[in-house]
Amino acid sequence: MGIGLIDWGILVGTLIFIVAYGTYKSRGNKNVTDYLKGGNNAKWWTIGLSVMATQASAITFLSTPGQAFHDGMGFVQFYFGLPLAMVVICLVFIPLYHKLKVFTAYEYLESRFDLKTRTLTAIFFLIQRGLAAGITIFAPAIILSAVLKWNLIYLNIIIGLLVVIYTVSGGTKAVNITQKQQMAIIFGGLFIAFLIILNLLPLDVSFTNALEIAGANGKMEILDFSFDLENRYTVWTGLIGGTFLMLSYFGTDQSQVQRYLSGRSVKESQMGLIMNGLLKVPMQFFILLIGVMVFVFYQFNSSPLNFNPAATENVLQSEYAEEYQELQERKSELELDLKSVQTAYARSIDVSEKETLIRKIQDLNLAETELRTQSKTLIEQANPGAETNDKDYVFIHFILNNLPTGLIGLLLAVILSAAMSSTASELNALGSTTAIDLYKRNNEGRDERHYVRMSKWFTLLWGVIAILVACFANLFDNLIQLVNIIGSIFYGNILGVFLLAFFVKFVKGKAVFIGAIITQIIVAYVWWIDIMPYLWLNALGCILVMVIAILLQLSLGGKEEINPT
Amino acid sequence: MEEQPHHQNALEKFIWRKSYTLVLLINAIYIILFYFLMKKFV
Repeated sequence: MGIGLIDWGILVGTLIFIVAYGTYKSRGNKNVTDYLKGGNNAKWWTIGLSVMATQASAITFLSTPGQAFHDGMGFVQFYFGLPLAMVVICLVFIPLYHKLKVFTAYEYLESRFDLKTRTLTAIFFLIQRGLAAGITIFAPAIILSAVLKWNLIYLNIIIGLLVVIYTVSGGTKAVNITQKQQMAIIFGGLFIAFLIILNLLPLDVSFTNALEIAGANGKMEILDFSFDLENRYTVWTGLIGGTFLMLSYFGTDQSQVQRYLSGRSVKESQMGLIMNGLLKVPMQFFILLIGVMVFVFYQFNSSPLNFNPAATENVLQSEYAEEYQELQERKSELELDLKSVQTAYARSIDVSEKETLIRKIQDLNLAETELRTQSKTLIEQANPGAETNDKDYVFIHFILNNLPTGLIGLLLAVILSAAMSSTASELNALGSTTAIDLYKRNNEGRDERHYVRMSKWFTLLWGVIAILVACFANLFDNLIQLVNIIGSIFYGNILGVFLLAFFVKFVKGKAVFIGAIITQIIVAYVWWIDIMPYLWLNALGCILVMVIAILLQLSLGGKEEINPT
Repeated sequence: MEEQPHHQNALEKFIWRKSYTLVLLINAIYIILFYFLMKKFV
């Protein structure tokens, strides 16, 4: 499958414009504050958009609609803790970071504890975020290369290079400026896509009808108040687990901290995060709603058994091809029945008739889900270890097969813009942390230009590392999961150290440093013996480091002096 | 390294702004709206 000349023009034009505009507008950084904090000039809406653009990677726009297509709107609950986290960060983190005039979150830990604790957390961050930056490039590249038959390596290099150009030359200012353009493209593209999907529904299917059809098939179950630990998305996991996760991400991850450190005042930084707190839940709801509307669209139109073209190709070339084709034929028959019942439902005004039809629709969709499950079994049998979950491919399949010329280019620009905006923040943060926490701290007394030059070199170095990780990622099975695991091994520990710093005043540097080392060993061991799902390692690390450091401090007593600052 | 004010001084001044109440309130309203939307269509 390829895209037309107009789409290419829009895609390439948009990306070149972003890179050129960002590079041009951010030229002439004179000192470290200019380069790493954007001259401390950012207004609240710039910070808000930048924070949102950093969190929303390409996978957000590829995966989330697919998630809603298969499992409905429940994923929105994952974000319920975000506003609470924003308030805590505004109340505690931002005033402190601004008052101490830090460039990185880890710099604060030296003033609170000591140099070794600062260096340790900075290194933890560099390891996990360095790998994650590669995956931010690789994840959309693998999907686009599978669907559009683009060369994966070239795509990795192109995305990486485009980001490197403006991030290295313009630093934080370039990241902030480009993220405003990228968010405008993302919001505009998604809004137009939503309107087009509604327009593609049959004439007698209103928006309310579409929501009724989605609701009848379990896609509108937004809230789950149960205490079922097996269920990943409930109101409680969102409010409790989500708050901790968002607190550690927005409060201690330099790729986010750097966004609001660029604010011209404490208030501007706080307002930026409040903007994120106001818009994030509706934004995720809207993206999920797009996925649900894509589901309704496919109630009236043909869809593949599995949206991943590589998986389908694989199985059709295997000994299971005949069985798979049989499933495809059964699905085609089901689709015909489904379309006629859906149309009858949309036209019906009689309540009891509607109820009968809804039950038929539910039965037909259950039968379709069963066929999809059987197809996944065949895909796995044809290629053991193959990725059978096709949620990442649902929306891109819809885009490429149903949107008009021009809009396909725009939506591809949305996806690549999202990839670039997240990667830019990551490289910017990796470069800053290496320059400030490792290099400058150990090489004091040089002039500002030297540190700016070194920051640029470090950003470039991390850009090269991210591209290399992206290029080699395909050689490993489940590399994305591996990176998430590595993140979970370090994240909880870092959050625990920060929570100790903020809220447990009597704990000092030595106890925290030893506690962090012991925690890291225990968490790595717990992961190694595989006794709990890896996401729980976050909570384990956080609790462990706090308990160990407090116990150590109690046993050390007053032996350790308060860190002189 | 230049002398920095101790973190405890900064921590003592938690200033609650109206915007924090607003963001929490509006998000509570989102959840209530989701509840009614779900009630209507499920």
